[in-house]
Amino acid sequence: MSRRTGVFAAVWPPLLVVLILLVLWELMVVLFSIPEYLLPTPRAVGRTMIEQWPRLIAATGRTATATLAGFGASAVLGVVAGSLLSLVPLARRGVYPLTLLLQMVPLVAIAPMLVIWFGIGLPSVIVAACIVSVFPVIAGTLDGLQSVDAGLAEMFRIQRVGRIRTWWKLGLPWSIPSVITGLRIAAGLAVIGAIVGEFVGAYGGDRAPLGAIITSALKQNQTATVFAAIGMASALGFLLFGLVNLGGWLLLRRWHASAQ
Amino acid sequence: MTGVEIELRGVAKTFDRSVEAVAPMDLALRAGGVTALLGPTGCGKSTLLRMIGGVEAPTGGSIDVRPKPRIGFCFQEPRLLPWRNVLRNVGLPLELDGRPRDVCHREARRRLEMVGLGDATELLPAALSGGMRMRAAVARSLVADPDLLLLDEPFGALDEVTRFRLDEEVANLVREKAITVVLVTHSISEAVFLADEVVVLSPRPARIIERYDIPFGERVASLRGTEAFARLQADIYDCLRGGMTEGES
Amino acid sequence: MHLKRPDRNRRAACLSWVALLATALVGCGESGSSSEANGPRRITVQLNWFPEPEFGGFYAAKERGIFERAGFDVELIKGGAEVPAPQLVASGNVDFAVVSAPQLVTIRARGGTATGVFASFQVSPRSLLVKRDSPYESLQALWESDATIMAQDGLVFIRWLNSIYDGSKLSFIPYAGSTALFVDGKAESMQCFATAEPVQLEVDGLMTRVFVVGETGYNPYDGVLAVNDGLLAAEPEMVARFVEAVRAGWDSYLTDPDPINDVIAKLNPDLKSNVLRLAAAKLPSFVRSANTADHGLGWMSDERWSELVTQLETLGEITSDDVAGLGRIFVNPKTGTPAAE
Repeated sequence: MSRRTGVFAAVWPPLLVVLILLVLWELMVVLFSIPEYLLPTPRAVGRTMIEQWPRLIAATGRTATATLAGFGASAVLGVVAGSLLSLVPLARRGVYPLTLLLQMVPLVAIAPMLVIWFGIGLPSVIVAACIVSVFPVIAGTLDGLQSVDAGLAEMFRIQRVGRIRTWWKLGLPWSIPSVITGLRIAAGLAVIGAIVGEFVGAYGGDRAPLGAIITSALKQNQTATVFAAIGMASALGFLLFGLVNLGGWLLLRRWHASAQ
Repeated sequence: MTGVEIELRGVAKTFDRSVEAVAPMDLALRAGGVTALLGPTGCGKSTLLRMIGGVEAPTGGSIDVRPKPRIGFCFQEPRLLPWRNVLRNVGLPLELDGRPRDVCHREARRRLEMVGLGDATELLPAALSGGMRMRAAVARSLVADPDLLLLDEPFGALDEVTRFRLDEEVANLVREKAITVVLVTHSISEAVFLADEVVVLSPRPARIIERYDIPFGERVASLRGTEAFARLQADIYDCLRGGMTEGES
Repeated sequence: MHLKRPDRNRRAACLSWVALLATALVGCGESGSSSEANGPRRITVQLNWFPEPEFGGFYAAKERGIFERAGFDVELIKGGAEVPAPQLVASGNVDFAVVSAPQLVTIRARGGTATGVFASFQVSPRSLLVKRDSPYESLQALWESDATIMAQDGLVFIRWLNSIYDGSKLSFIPYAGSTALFVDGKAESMQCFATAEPVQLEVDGLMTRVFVVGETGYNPYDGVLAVNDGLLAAEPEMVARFVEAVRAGWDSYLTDPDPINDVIAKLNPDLKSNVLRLAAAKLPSFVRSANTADHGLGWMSDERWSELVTQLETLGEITSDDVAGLGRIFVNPKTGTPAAE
């Protein structure tokens, strides 16, 4: 009983805020006579979503595929890289500042290079999603590994357990909460990375993912379609974020305060 | 299990070139018995224990521990891995030693029965009370059949009733198994109840003030109420206090 | 609470950035032109592609002082693949922009207020390019194959071709201005302007064949100079003078293109001057027509615009409601008349 009311209580305030925002948006467009090519009304966006549903959902599926693959790659690479950096102190001091570079490089600038290196379509989009989302995972992993409880670490040291076994049995499980935090951030970034990658490197026409729909709709001045596609992308981001939270809850619910 | 002989010769420990935790100390501990290192908070007794256990190296002198023992540690915090259930936590030392899983589980189960946690094997630390967690830690320190058990104020964070109960359990357990024990504590009653010998230490840097023989046989709860117990406790209290005020003046 | 020194400095730095940002935003909001008393009229023109011979008339008017003599100080803002030229002129961010005719119609359908005043291209140079030794004999053959086409998805001509041929087996990849993927063979065909990309590729040694889309019946104006409606309503004389200057510029360019091509080459280092020369040589057949012989370069007819609107409606780009609300899409401004055309 309390679980169900808990979910409801968590959901209705933001939903109410969204509703209010939608109403304000509609009023603003009407009151200021904003032309449709600049800002469509929520109703126009909704109508477009319904009319173009098959095309939008298929595109969302394609973007979702690239996003999930890129996110998955980020998760794995991030944990591996973070672990390596933690195990090799010299590498950490030398390499960690450079991983920051990955975050800083504007994706829009390197996206065309990605297409040339990895090819049109899924490969370059997956790489784009991965590049943009990997750093938070590295940071979360590293953070977790560096903050292992000193008492537990000493226990392992006393028994002369090697660094790798200590990482596997102590460091990694200890880091799960902060890795999950990193993954939460990475989820949203992966969607952005995929869409930006798709602006430059995705198939159009019948095989268009959301990013391609956005660029083509812009060319046709179909701003309502642009917003509809953005809406789908946001939903995708929410979904991925929710999945990460669910995963975190499943992993942590029995033993970590954050999930209880 | 023969007793473990521990001999400290001129052992001293200074941290960071400036903080002297232990002044050069000679100490020969009783083989096969329970020795309590009793001293005020921060006097360096934990450091002494850690040097005996090989966790810290002395900056002066030498420590001889013969024969080379299997050592079990128990700290003031239970230090249980929060994601493992009690069984797998207690079996951890064997697991880290490379023993097969069924052996680890079997030995862990036996020790848990010994400390009265036989029914709690599937529980996670978060589901245990403080006393139960400490008991699990004690069980873990025993799982590898140690010759030498080093206890660093293991029950300091527990309430008095639980503490008394655990003192009793441990006192009888180690005598049953003939394990050599070095116990660090700042509780006089715990030292007198558990140990065969109490070594009273001064405030930092630790020096031996006095050594007391504890003549009592079986350690039962009623022992705490006896006059002999009270008198011994009072003597040691005076000694301890004397050591502390000496340091102040 | 009394701030410590570093906090105070940080706060001051923060405030100055905010002030800077605010000024920049306010500046952005203003229209691109301002008239100073007795000075030349400042005008901004947003081009919809990189500097190329297709804008030759504009560059000629600027370089040869034609704008200046008409009293204008003109900034030609170069464009690219993603520059939203129609949106910029419709919202008043720039005074004029070069757009394609269908884009002008669709933006008007969505509430944009811009009007066409000059059509550089009387015949649409929109084409599809294939390598000379490729197996595609005709545009239809190309469209009904399983080729990969590099094109800006969203351009109307793609929808047009899909309506007359079966393009279900085609794949589309984005075109951002680089021909590399076509040259490498990753795309069998690419969109182009008949006067631009084919010439460039041939000079680089790649022989091509060009299918002009206009020959299939979809032939809208292109290189359309559009003006913001607010500006047109406020200063119709000025707009008419400007269009005359543009016309003069195109006349001048067609007569003597080479010096202007050198200027374009400097603006767009990717173009070599022999490419420009060849490209410029192809322009007249697209820029001139029977109408321009009678009325001057850039002149537009009702029939062509109506045909385009009908085609767009058939393709589903605009609805019949949109058509009703389009208003006046174009005008051929003439100086000396209070309300032109």
